[in-house]
Amino acid sequence: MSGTVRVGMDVAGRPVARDIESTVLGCSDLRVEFGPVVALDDVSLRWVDRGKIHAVVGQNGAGKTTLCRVIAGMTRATQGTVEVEGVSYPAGDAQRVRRAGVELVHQTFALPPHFTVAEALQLFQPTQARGGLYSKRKIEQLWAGRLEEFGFHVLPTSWVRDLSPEQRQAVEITRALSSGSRIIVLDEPTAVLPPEAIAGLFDRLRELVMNGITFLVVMHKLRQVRAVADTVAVLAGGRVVLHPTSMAAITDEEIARLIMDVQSSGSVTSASAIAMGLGAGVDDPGQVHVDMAGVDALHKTEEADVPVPLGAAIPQASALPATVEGLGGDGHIDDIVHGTTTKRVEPSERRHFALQVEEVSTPSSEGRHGLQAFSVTVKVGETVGIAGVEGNGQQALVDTVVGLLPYRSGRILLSEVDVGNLRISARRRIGLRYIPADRQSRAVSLSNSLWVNAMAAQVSSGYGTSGAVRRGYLSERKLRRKGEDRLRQWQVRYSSRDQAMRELSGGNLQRVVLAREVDDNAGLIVAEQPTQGLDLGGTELVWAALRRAASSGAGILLVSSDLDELFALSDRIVVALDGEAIEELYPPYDREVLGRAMVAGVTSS
Amino acid sequence: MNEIYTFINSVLLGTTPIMWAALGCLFAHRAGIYQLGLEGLMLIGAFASIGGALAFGSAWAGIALAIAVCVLMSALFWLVVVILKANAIIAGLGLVGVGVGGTSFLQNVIFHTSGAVVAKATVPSPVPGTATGPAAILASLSLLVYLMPIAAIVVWLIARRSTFGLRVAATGQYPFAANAAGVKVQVVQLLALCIAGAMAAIGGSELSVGSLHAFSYDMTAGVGYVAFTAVLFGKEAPWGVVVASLVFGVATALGIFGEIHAVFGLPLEFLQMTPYVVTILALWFAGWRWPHAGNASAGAFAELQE
Repeated sequence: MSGTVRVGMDVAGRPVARDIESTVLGCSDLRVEFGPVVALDDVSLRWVDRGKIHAVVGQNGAGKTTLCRVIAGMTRATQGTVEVEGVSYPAGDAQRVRRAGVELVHQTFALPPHFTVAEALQLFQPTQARGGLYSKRKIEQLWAGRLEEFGFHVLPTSWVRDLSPEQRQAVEITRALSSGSRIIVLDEPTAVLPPEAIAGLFDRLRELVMNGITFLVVMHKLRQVRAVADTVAVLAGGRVVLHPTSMAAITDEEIARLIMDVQSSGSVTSASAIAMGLGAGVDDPGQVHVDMAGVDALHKTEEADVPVPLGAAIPQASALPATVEGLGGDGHIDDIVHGTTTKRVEPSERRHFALQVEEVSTPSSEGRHGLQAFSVTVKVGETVGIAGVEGNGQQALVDTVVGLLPYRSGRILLSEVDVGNLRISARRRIGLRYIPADRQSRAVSLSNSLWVNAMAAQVSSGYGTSGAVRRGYLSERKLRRKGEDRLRQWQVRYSSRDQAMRELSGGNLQRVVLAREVDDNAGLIVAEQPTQGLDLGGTELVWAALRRAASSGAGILLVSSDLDELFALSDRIVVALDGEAIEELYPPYDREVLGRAMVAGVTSS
Repeated sequence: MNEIYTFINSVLLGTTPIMWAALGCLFAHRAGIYQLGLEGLMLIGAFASIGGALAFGSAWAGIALAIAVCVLMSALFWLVVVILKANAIIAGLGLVGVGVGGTSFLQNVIFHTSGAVVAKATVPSPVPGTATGPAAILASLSLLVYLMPIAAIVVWLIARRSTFGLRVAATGQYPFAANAAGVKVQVVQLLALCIAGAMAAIGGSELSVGSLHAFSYDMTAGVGYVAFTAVLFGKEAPWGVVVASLVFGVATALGIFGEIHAVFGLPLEFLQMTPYVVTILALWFAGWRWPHAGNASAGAFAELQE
């Protein structure tokens, strides 16, 4: 801690005036360019309060992650400086910023999988070993003590690869704190956590704040910001649209409006509010009534006994378009949105099933539950949500329905046809569609071009190619044209249809997946975490697409860890626990009832 | 009884070059680089040590020269693979070619023979010699054989109990993490390859100045590949590599034993296959039983003994 002001000292009774003057963390005129793209555009921010949790919010691509990385010195800036404890450093000097006491906890974990926890921590703190050699027992004791000190329950002897996401995060935070840092930058810490672990993380952060640690936290969901942050700053399009502001001085609607970067004409839509986890009940589009009771229920504070009816919060179609950049304008998307209300089919009126899973069992593997006589049905036009703590059989359910995993007993019917162990292509011809959670490796081929990705399923299963495939011969010209039509239809932002898939961002990539998987012949769409990591615009698009698909006759099996998403889309929610379907819930949904069923297996019956 | 002594003798003779080379190669693998050029390095080491022994009249000087040359070759390999981003397998095969062709060429140029190059200076044995019995066998083994257990312990300490070992493993497993921890990935890879080169040189020296006191064309005859396999079979863990090297050493000795005693009247050539058949079986077994490659993966010897 060479020459810098220790944070704790200020807490220990220095004049208040000095506190206000000195910046704990900040940046001036930061500019970051990646080729022609300007990620940060003259960003100047200043946080003055020590021992607080400062949030930075914004849409995907707003520059939040870049800001974190620049502040921590991991990314070079074109210009600008970073200030730590009132001292300025040229942006991008990782060593000096670290020495000044700033540590970054990455969004993706930086821990070698085949290390033990003690070894991984030792790797980052080599000075703890004398003469370059260490004793296994000693480092295990050392790190057991440290982990305990910071309030984490992780065994130093366990393998990193066996840790749950929250345990990995705990190890990462321990690593960051062990270097003596008093300022920790967390890049989307909640994105990698299952919902039930988020409250635990927030508790830890609050405890650490009591010890004088300052956190800068990037977050997606307003519900979480409201639950934990002391101040909030908003980025949009690489610019600061809100300087750090006390949470008490600003309402959620105002923040939401700033995030969406809506000019005076627009208003924040209800879908946006829900996507951000506000739990809004909507009577009148454009008028967002924010109900924070949901937050309280989640975080076990005083008013937890108020059940929150969220099922009614399906946004009005008229509130959907035009406010999100890239969503408004021509044709197809408006059709999608329009279809939501005008042609919605009452699920109960149809007699046909899109999916019947009858008492299916699969073997368990590596800490993941297989299915234990799991049964679920999805009617035509119905959306059935699968809720559950991760690892309770959701993966096995998706894999067996899609055809990636053989099952031992039971029956699966797609559109009332027994699929047995039919190949995937055969299932697709019956009408199966799949939006995988793992976009990078399961949903698309990153090295292939856009049109190939958009048309791959149609070609391999032989539907919807309209003349491009004839007797086994492909017309590449027609496929390209058809592929490009789809990309346009779904408003994928691209420069060329021959562009490699890896060049697209998350939301854009998901549009390509939708372009391939959502079509008129779809009988059952298995949507697995379809909006994870997407911004509001992307989330709205996916939701609208799924709603329209349901209204035009497809069944939707929605597996999601985002409760707001489940509440907003599902006609019914099935709770999975230990590979069994233990509970079925109907709207209006109660967050608490669902939470109890997910975690403890407590059912209402 | 004598046959048992002879058998143990040939097990030790067979194991030593494999284990020295494999223990070094372990670092290269753990750092994420498959050093298939091990065969070439051992051959170069064998030749350089004989050359050095003849030139300076001391086996130790020969070994020192061998280490220097092999470290230099490893640095060159690093340049090609890490900096110039060549495929490590192809570059490794190239290194083998350089080893076989280069030593044969230099043998002709320097010693004007394509037969054996014999050196008087040899690596001494720490055990005083007697005429017969087990003591005679012990006395016939070079110091490099006796140093083997110490080498294994030192390798284990460095690979599994040192900060450098952690850095090597992080570099191989997850360069992103290594980077985040402030490790200079390319430098670590250079060091790991140089260690591999130095120990391959010692393994090669054991073949020439250590036991045979001579160099002949392509005298490693696949020992380097066997050592490479031993690293894979041992799952890149020090004690795993030790056990794997012993397995291959026993296989080599069985091959020799079979040659001498004509077991079941099988053809000589058939028995000579033993070490290589065992190598293939070992690889198949490792892949089938422990499908998850990489150091310290499930089921590796390292996890079993820790």
